[in-house]
Amino acid sequence: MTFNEERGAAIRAGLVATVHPPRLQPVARRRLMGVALLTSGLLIGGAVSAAAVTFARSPVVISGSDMPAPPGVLPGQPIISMLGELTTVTVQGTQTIPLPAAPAGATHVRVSVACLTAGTISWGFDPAGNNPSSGCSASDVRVKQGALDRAGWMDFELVAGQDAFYIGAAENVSGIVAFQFLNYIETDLGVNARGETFGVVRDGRPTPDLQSASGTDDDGAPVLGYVRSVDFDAFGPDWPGQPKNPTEALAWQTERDAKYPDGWDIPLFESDGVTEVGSFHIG
Amino acid sequence: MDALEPPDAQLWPRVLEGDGRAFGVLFDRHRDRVHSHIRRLVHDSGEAEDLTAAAFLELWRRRHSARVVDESLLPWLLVTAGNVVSNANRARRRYRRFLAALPSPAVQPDHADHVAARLDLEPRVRQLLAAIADLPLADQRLIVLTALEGLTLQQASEVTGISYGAAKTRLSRARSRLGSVLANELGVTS
Repeated sequence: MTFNEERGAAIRAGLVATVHPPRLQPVARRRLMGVALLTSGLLIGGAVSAAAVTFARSPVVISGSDMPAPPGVLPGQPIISMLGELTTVTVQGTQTIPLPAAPAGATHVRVSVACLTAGTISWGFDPAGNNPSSGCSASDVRVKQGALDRAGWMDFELVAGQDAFYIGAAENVSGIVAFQFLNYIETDLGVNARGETFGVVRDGRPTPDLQSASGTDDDGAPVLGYVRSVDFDAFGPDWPGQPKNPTEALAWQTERDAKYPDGWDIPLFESDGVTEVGSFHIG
Repeated sequence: MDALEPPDAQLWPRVLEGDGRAFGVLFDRHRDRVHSHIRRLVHDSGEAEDLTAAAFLELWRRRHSARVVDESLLPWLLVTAGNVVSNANRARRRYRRFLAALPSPAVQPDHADHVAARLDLEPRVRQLLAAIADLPLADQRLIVLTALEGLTLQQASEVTGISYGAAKTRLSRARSRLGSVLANELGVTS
């Protein structure tokens, strides 16, 4: 009744080859994650253009008004430039930090928090403490200690008069908080031949009919495309909308979990909303 | 070699970041337990190996809902292995009429299959498995995980997503439904 070793080795090799690094999720689902390019720029601390790929030789014009997305930028994705130097502060326990002075043209500040000890740190502009948090387990600390490139981060829109930054943590918990001022230039959503808008989903901006997502093609390889927002926002394949009350939500959820225990796939299109290029898994 | 490797709870985040080698270590670590669990439910040794592979593939496919219980993925894998077997049985039932019309496979039977078949012919074992199969699915899982796979009730409740209190009630109800004789066979004492 023992496992056939030759077969076991083949199965093992197949499984090892199956494992791959995480793929991008739609922007709506990764508010706290970021663009690797920016994170590395942040570590250098220089005034690097976020759209370095397309603008390495022609600097971004800071205009403050929306513009069509240039090549290499997804419609609706902001063009972000870093302004000034990176400022880092070491924190321990609960405290209030004065926000460094913002350079001219700054619209946002990117705050990164790396842990120095195990524990959770909350950080943000809400004095009441309703802020994002990040942290490290005892085992995380070994690889993440002080590492800003592995830290949790978030971009906050600058608001006049908001110049104090609040840190909440247990007394023995410490970390490094880094501030990088940014300029955001918003780009317009695209419009396809069918009149549908397409692009990246962002807070406080109109939701496109087709939202950017990374799914898989028929061979299981990662592929970029767009999912229909109505498909993405549906409660499930058989429920186009959202439940109207908690009772309905519970009933739908029970039914959905029984019917689709492993989630479901929705189609992934080109920006034309017609050509199917793969699928996106939900659940 | 495995003794030098970190526990599942530390390997799992590495797998999630795409470390195939870490997944290989998990396979080495749990393959035999998962296989022997499936072997109780499936008579064909080749099929049991296939289903073991499927259970590990499910671990990867459903990696965002997999749960580490007491630093181990084994409880989750055992539950998943049970589901994989149920799904395979369902699929077979669906195709039974078609398969019945085919000639029998001309393969050399595995000696281990004979042993398993003889064991399964033991009336008490057969009676026991039939009695378990009559229980509601959630109860079956609890009985199998606690009595046959040696998990604690706490571990079994966590991995099946049933609260400890409800799991305790279910297990007690399952025990009385199985009857005292069968419960003794299973080593489940009140």
